[in-house]
Amino acid sequence: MTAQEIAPRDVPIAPPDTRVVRVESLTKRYGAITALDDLTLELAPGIIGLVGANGAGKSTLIKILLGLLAPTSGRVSVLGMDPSTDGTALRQFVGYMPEHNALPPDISATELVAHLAQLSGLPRSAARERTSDVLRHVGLYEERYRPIGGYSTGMRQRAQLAQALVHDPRLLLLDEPTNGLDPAGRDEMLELIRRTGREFGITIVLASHLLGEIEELCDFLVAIDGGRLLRAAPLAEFTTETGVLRVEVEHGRDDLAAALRTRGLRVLDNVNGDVRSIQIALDELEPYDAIRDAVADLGLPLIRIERRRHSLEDLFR
Amino acid sequence: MTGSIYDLGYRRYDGPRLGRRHAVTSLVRHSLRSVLGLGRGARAKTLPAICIGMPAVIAVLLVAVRALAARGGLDSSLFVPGHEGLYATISVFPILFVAAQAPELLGRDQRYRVLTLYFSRALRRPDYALGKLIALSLGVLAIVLVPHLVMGIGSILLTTKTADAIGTELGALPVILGSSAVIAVVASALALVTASLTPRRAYATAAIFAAFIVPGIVAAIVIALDLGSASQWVVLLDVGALLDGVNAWFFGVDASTAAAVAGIPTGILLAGAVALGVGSALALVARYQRIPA
Repeated sequence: MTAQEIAPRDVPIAPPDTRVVRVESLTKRYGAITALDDLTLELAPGIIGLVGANGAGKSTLIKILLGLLAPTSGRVSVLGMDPSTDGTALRQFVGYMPEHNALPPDISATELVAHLAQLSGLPRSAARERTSDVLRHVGLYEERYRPIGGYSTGMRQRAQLAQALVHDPRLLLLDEPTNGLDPAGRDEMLELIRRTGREFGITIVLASHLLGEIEELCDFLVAIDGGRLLRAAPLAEFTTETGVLRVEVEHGRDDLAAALRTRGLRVLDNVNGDVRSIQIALDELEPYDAIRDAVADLGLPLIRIERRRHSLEDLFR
Repeated sequence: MTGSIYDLGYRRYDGPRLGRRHAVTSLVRHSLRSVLGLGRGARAKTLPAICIGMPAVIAVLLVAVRALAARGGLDSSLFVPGHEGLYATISVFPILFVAAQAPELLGRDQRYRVLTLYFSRALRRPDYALGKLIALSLGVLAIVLVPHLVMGIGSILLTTKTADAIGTELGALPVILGSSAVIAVVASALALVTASLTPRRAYATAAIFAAFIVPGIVAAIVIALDLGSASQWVVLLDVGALLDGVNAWFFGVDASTAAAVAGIPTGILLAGAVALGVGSALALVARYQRIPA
């Protein structure tokens, strides 16, 4: 199946940890509740979006990848290790940012992050050095000696990112990192995540219930719903063009629809409740000339003609 | 160095990763500093300073009285306690210390959900619980050992037969260390398991005082009612009597509390204390296996 199996033995096609995460028939039940249902997944390095509604199983999956929860059944491998048996060794190479605020108010970011770095296996001097580096990276350098209790929500989230990054993980698991942030803070956080993933080559799994946020950032998208895998594919495949052309006008939509029908085009029922646009199937002849002529004849103010793309929201319909 | 020009902050790390053992050692060191108030404000230092300083002062006073008595030609051993009686004079300080510091050690991580950040690192849940136990025990050990040290140095300085005195003091060392270690671990384990039940600091402190004092009061009442010889065993509920019994067993003297009146052998008191310590430690680990993080 994989490249290694097909390739001749002495030709190393890829290092063994090409897949950062492998999950096979993973199921997690809490009593009668099934949080994850027969999930099979492989993740290559990159920035990976993990999308799903609240309660879809995103946090459960992340905690299993960390070895904090044991799967009910199925196999999990992270960076080539089994989280349930090699948890402490694995977690030296994994950073985790929980979805809730987990910071004590009475100590400074420097003290907390340096302490946690040592708990991830870094020697004391390296922990101190990297703490100050990483706090500068997340933009908390000026405030690093102040007690965390006085931080804004945005600063807290950056401190949480710093503790996840301080030991230079190979894999970074971020659970709703923009929780509670205002739009400006959210953009800053996403930019910080993008730079961390792109410039330093750290593989990031970014869990979010906000699809739009993830779109700009990710190479690969995993959509789960009710504990089941909906789809796992490169982002581009989620947003491929459809066979539908959308024509938007300032007004006179119904007149345009009637005119196009008489010219032999197939006008689709508008499902979006969108009062300014019509959708035309691209199945037969090229409709562009007919649209141009119809709009000109009726003298309508045309806003745009575009090929419709699959939107991420379509996934959850 | 792979950082870009405008970002001087982030660098890759290719140095050693020292694993679980290092993680636990770091946790113990950090927690010990925190119970002693090191690296904290003056307020955080007050109680540890009192709890370690007062027993040392008491030991200095005992040595001073002995010196005065010797000058007057009296045998001070009749009325001034030596190593064997030292614990009874300072026993309130370890309890004060664990009642104040055990909630401090555990409560913050529970209250602010910091445990999540601990458990996602190179240690396991039991490592966290046992690391905290070791740290608090080392703090109590300092309280119990410092006065012995003061007394030992005093004894050596007071006598003209310096070599003999050094020999005697060194000979007493294993007993002092053994007794102090058992007392420190038992008191710390009981305080921590009590503190782990609530993240609220004030409740936890009150609960620890109750755990150390209330059973003793119950025991005293039962003994005073004199309900027959079997009722004497109620002394085993008295944590203070158990810790005193540990001290008595190691030094080979009679217990100085109600246990002596009840005629319970010091070996039984030691066994009771060890059982209490082991039981508390296991309960603490079990609690941290289940605690949400």
